[in-house]
Amino acid sequence: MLEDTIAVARGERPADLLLRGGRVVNTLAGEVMEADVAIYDGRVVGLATGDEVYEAHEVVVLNGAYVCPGFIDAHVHLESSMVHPAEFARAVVPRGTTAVIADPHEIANVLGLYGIRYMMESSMGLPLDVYVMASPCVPATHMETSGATLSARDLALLLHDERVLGVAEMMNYPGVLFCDPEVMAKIVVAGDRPIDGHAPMLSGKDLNAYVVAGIGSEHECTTVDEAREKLRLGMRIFIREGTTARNLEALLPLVTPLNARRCSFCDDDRHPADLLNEGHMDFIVRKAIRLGCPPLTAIQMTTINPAEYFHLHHHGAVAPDFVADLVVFDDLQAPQARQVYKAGRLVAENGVLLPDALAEARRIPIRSSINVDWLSVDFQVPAQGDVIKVIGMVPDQIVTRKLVEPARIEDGLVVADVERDILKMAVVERHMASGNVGLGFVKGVGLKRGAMASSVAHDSHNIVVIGANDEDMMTACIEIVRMRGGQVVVADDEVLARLPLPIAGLMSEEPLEKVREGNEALAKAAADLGCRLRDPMMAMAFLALPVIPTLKLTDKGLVDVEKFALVSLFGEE
Amino acid sequence: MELSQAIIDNVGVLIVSGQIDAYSAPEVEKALNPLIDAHQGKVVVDFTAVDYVSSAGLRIMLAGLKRARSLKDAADQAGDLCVVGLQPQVKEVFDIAGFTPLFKIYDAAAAAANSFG
Repeated sequence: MLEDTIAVARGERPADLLLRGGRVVNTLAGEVMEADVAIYDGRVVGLATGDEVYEAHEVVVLNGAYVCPGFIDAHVHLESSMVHPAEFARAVVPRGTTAVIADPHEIANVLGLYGIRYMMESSMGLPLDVYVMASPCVPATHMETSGATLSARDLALLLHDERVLGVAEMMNYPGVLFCDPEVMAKIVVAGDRPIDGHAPMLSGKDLNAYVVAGIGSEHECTTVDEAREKLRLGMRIFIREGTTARNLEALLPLVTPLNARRCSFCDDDRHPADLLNEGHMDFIVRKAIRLGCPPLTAIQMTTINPAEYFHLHHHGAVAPDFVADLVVFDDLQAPQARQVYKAGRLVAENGVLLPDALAEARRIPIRSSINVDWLSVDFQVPAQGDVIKVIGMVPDQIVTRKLVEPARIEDGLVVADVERDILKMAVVERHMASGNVGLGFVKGVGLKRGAMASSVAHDSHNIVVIGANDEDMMTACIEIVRMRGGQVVVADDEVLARLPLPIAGLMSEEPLEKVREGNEALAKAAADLGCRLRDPMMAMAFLALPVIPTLKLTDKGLVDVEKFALVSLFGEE
Repeated sequence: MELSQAIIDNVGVLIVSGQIDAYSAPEVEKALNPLIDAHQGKVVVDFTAVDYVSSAGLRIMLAGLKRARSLKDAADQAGDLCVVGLQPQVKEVFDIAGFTPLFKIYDAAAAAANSFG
């Protein structure tokens, strides 16, 4: 009842909880203030300063500790954590994260609306608000086979849900610029809700056009100049510091006291090892401060700034009528959550989620997403020329080079050439049992024998496999399907390491620590076979993404990304 | 793992017992391929005494199936590779891997051999 809340705020009735003697990081006024925080019915109802006193049923004495709003991740693909939402919450809530803006486009590419609803249902009842942006680019391109297509009508259905805040990253910026009717329809359904951007290097008049279409944010900037142009045109800048892309150091010089409120932090993709070893938004805040960002600014960038952009009116501040999502910490120069409150309830302490915080977490069953036409799966490449295009790996980057190499031909078939580090690669369509198998070759992986495969392969998440021989490649693919999705390293028909990912072939049902162990075992097994890549599964997962230059492989074949077209394996052009 | 062979009405039967894992799978392959060729693709693999099959084992079954179906007998009838006697835990592996629809599966070798007509 509003009357009750007003009575508590006026001090006529006791609050539920009082945090006494703390220093409030006030993201609205941009200051640190000494104040008691009164909480009632899950919300902050009052700040008491000076001689003002609140009574409460429970009092927690902070002895000068800081209190700031719970952290908000402005843009994340939860699937990249490789664990289900409750497990993700177990990892990030003790770090101070109380809300994330999730773009579920990984699972949407596998299972469509069903997959998005799975993520929404399985993130209910958590001590973490999982808000969703409806994914507009499923599939990412027409040159690959995804498990589902999301239309403007599908997005409209999703937008009826109050947890769906807007439309997620509009990767198809050519579609915006050339007024593709389906893209236009997806913009229209957003109405006055935010639409996130994804237009790396877009500039000048084309950028004006992109912004005028209603795209409001950008998280793909890699230089200050790029980010400044987008900021000037009105875009919110999400500075990304994830596992795949780390832009914080490069972009932080952009942020000034006069523009900081238009900037936020996000991680986009964060893998198990980084979540466990570094942390989540707290890590980004600490790193930003270490790089010279004022602590208040860094905290605003992961609280009130994203809250305002996403129209989360009661999030992002410690003030009356804001949800009591609170982080208590000791050192303003290096915030590390000591206690975390979600809607006024203590949910984590000293880096650990409290036992009953996940009491209402749901485990939703999900159907298998794997469907392969085995009779069509064949990795033989009949020779149709003397030279082949080869995907050149670039260490620690998701871009590749386009190489042209002499083909090694045996009995009329092009085969892997381990001496020259040219391995065979295949992408096996795994959603519709279409029988599509894209075949190509890759240089720079280093495997001397065996094969490795994964059902995580952006963005359509078909099975990607790289190997020194066809037999191990096939065994690896079969093992992936047997696990209902996952990642595997095989040699001489023996499975050396495996990580089952039965949730859409993307996520595990195990704890984050077990998944990290699995990642490490896979990397070690691949290294033992000669692989030189630091994170071979991640590197392989991006070799099928045909929106990142230069040469990629999908289930439909080899893609020259600069031509934005499928090309023959043979010949230079 | 142990292997033995039989012939029922000109159909080759490979009887496997034990586990088909990474180490034993090549032995199965070594026995299966000549059997397929010798019987113009008409073969039965008896799994009655098999209690485990690895992904390598499945690969060999798939390769055998493709090899068998690529062959024809004198009457131009295409070959096939039938499977017999899948124990529940092995059947489950076939199911999960999506292999069950690929094969004609019978309870007994005689019934499988008869299916070739």
